[in-house]
Amino acid sequence: MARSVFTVVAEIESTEAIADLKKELAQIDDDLAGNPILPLSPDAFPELHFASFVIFDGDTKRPRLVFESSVDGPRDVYLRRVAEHSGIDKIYRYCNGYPDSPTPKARFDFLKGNAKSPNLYHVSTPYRTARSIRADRDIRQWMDRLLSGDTDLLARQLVRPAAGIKQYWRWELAMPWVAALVAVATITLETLLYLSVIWSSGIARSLLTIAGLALVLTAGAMLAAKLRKKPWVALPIAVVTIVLAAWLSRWNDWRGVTVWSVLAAIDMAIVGVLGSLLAGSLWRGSLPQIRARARHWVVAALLITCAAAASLINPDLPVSLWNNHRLSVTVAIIALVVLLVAGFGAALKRRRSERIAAMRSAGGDASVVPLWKTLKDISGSYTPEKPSWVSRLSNWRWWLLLPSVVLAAVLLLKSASAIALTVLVAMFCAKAAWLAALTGWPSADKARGQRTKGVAFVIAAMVAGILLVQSLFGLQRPVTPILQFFHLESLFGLETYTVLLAIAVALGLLGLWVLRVPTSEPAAPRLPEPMSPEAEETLRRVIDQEDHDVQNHMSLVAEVGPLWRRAVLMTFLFLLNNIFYRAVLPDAWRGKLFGLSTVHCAQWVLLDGGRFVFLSNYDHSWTSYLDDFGAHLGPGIQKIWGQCTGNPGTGNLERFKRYVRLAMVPYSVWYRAYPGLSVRQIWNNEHLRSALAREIPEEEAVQAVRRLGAAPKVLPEILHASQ
Amino acid sequence: MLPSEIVPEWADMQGPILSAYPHLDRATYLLYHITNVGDAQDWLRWLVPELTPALKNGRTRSSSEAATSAPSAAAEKPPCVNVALTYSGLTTLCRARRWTSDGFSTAFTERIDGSGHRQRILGDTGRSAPSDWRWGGLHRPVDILLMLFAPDDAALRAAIARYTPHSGLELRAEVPAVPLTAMGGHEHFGFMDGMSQPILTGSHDAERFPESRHLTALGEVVLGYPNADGVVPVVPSVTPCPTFGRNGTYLVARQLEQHVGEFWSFFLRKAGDDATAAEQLAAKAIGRQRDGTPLVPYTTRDDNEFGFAEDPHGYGCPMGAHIRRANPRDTFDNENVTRAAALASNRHRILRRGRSYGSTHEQDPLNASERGLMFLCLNGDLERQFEFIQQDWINNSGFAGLLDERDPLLGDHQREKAFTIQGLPSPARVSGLSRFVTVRGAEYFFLPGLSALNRLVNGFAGGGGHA
Repeated sequence: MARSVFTVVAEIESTEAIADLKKELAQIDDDLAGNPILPLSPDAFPELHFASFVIFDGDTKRPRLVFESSVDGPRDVYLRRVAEHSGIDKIYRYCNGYPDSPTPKARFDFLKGNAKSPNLYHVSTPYRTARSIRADRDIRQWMDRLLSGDTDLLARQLVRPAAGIKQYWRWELAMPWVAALVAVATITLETLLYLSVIWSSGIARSLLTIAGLALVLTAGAMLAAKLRKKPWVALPIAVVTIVLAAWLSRWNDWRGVTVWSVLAAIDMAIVGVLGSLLAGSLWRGSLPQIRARARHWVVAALLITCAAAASLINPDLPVSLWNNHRLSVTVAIIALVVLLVAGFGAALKRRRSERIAAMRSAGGDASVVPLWKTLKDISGSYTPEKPSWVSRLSNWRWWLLLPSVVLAAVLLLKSASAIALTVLVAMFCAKAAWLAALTGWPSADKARGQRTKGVAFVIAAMVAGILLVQSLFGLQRPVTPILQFFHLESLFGLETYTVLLAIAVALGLLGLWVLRVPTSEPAAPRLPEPMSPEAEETLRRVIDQEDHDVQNHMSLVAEVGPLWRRAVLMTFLFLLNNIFYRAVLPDAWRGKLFGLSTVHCAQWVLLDGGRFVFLSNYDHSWTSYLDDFGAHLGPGIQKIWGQCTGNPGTGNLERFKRYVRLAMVPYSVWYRAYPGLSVRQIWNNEHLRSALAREIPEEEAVQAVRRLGAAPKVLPEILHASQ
Repeated sequence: MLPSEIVPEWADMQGPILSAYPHLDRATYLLYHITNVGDAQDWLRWLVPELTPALKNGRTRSSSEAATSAPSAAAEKPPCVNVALTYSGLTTLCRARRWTSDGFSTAFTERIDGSGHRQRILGDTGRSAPSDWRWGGLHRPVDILLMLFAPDDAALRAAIARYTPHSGLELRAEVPAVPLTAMGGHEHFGFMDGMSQPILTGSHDAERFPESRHLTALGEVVLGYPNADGVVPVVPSVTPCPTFGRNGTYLVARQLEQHVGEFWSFFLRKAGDDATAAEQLAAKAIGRQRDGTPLVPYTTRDDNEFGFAEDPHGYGCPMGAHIRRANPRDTFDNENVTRAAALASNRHRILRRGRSYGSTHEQDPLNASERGLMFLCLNGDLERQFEFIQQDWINNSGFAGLLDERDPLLGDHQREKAFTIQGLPSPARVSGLSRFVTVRGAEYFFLPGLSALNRLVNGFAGGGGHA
């Protein structure tokens, strides 16, 4: 079921009323389930995940009462149920516009009228209902009790032969490598296959141009991400890209390109990038021992991939081969496929039998099967709550991606037009930028790097400006001997104009955006400004509310500068929310945010007058939460935080923490539907139960039962962490 | 690495920053409350020149070198003396001169039991509640911690006679340490202790082990130097001396009583009265064998550079084992953090300097008398280091994806009483844990640099303080 995340923002009529209002709210917080005002419990609101009441009473602005909710199903259904509680009159009578003699209908109208959708929100358990999360927890507790009573199990842990474990480990830790090699082989085969299709369609050059561009751009973005300490690398990459584009565009042969081959090229690029990301993350995440063993395999796989990529960029390599020996090449490819498939199959099979043997010996020759059966009985039937295909397809945001593809294809089919090329290149630029952003580049970590990057992007923006003027007003094309020498005069043909324009504009815009992020403070130590007694008291209350449980709540308010900055921020949040947080994250990644699965539900709301409210329900301590933010998501989060006045940047984490601490506001009421559960555990329980609902072989059962111990790092998490 | 232009002023730092004095067998910890400021000042004025610096001549020396190179004759091993102040001690001394302090950590100024939140995150609840402490906190405030180290009994008695104050200070508690040789590097439960220590950049050890995963920025422990983020944090000041905190560090002292009898009878019961199995079970709770061998595979006893990446599911060393919680190493490594950032990942390390107290097992095999650990640790940022470890790792019931359990050794097992041992074919769960360690006294201290302390008790004649 889809989740609704929203706030009801009511204007408190006067500052004098706040004290009384706080008293009423304290009544709710003291007894969440039994209070007469608004009972908050799984019985009263089974669909509710998190709820809070926070009073934002800034010094000059009108105070606001913010009622935060995260519920299953539509917002209005929930608000209607809230409106049935006449107790809320006691709260909202202090607010402007609340009806004098409220009926449920009038209350609902008031709540709905003041309801505000967040500008950006994140849900880490999309499509999971509060009811099923609680059910998973209860069943897990049964299982834990069962484990606690099992003394045989305990005894077995203590007599286990160490050699068996090592053997098992070797197997399990090597496993991802098998997966990675399969991935590399798939990529290679796909490349070859596409290559043959493309070449046979006789429009190779054009497509190779596109593919080459895509590869160079994405590789450049990845390279830049890896070399993030040397941001100037971006410049040579840009230059190389442009020169390459110019060189390739000399053919200017775009006729006869088919949709199929365009899609093939796009897919190839995507697979290539994601595959190499996956392989890279596996490489870094694996054991040194395993790494040493796998090194030559990796080198071989990389060489194959490089060769395939080279053959894409340099069309002369496979051409003659294909043209002159079509039959033998086809046979060779088929043989290769068969060999690879058979080889991997055999390897996997052998590995599997080895593994089961190792597992049995490591487990003291015990089988997991009896326990598995008992657990199955406890768990019962289970239907995983996943986004259905209907819901995925009905997510209009995915469809936004389609027109660009269709447009490009149609344009290419119709004519050899520069616009089509531009659209395609722009798409790849966007993808490169997206990948770069995911990999954390450009980062805003250090003041020095910031300046260099700033200069680089300003130059890019200037180039963009010149080109824009030239293309718009048709100024004379600059043809110099140097350009002629390198056959670069076509660099300034119409097509490349638009290509360059797209690249330059993208870089320029990115640069402008990056420049906005405040630089971190100078290294010289300086005492933080002393806090006012009121601020100290607020902070004391905030801290006192923390760490009663694994879950914590954070509410803070910041000011966003002038109007234009607010507009920029709102646009950014809108795009980010709709493209990433509402489409990719819930539908493709099931809510896992770069492996940082510690935030249950968080939202950003822009209030009137430039006040910017952030409400978050997160796991573990505030310090670790902010460390995660600063260390892992720093650059990204600064795109949002950077717009707020007084933000010192994440360069000095302690200073940033102090800034956030001072912006925090204590909650008046906070309700959570499943206390004690972290996001990681929610997913862990879910994985366990859905595994129990399936018929799976013994070795997979061992992996599933492992979830009773601790939530393991799973492959998608590793992948996301690398992104 | 420490930037080359920064030279650590070892001679101005107090000894514990570089060494645990392994060559001095005996030690005692004395906790005082100031009753007369004038007398206290006089005593400190006399004492300050006697305090042991980290390094006398500014030459870098490792603790191990100190142990081996020290001559065996007791006469050539002079006793070591060090002094730390609590916030109340510091303010009392400051007030006597009408000075004020600023920039000290909130945790330090609020004191170790200053708020309900702090008690909660440190686990100072139930039996360990501050109201039951013998010293420290708001109930039995102490001002000064005097640490005396000597090679043998006679020398220690002489040191006590020589260095302890005669008036103006009331002795609140004395915690005499067990001789190092009697413990043989083990703590009272019987396990090797204090094996993993951060190696400070700029020290001799850092030169010897430049690739160590324990390499930690000097500023993570000593104030006034760049920390793991490459930032020199704000140094606490006392009004006429803006660099008062330079070369100083925060010292956490906690007297932890270990219920050795309860500990072993629990594990014996769980292991079906089989002593070997009980020992293995306890080793699972700790994460190391009694001789210190870590339970992770591919690692030997003397290799302390291991990471938990080689044991991702806790089949060897359980996910919730004590050594994993106290220092998760690469358990949470983010793929974005490259290996070169080992320094940055050591943002939550503490330098441990404690010793055991009470009777040894040989003296009292029935565990009739109290024994435990005088836990001392040094860190530059109380919140980010000591408190973070306590809160996010030791007492975090959701640590590393575990559900409802705490550190099997230190956790206050009030709600969650279980401990999971991951393994094949399925994990096992040990239930019914009780609290094996009780806090008997605790306080946050500041271990000031020698010149800073000198100025505090003699007046800031020079004015500006350190350059």
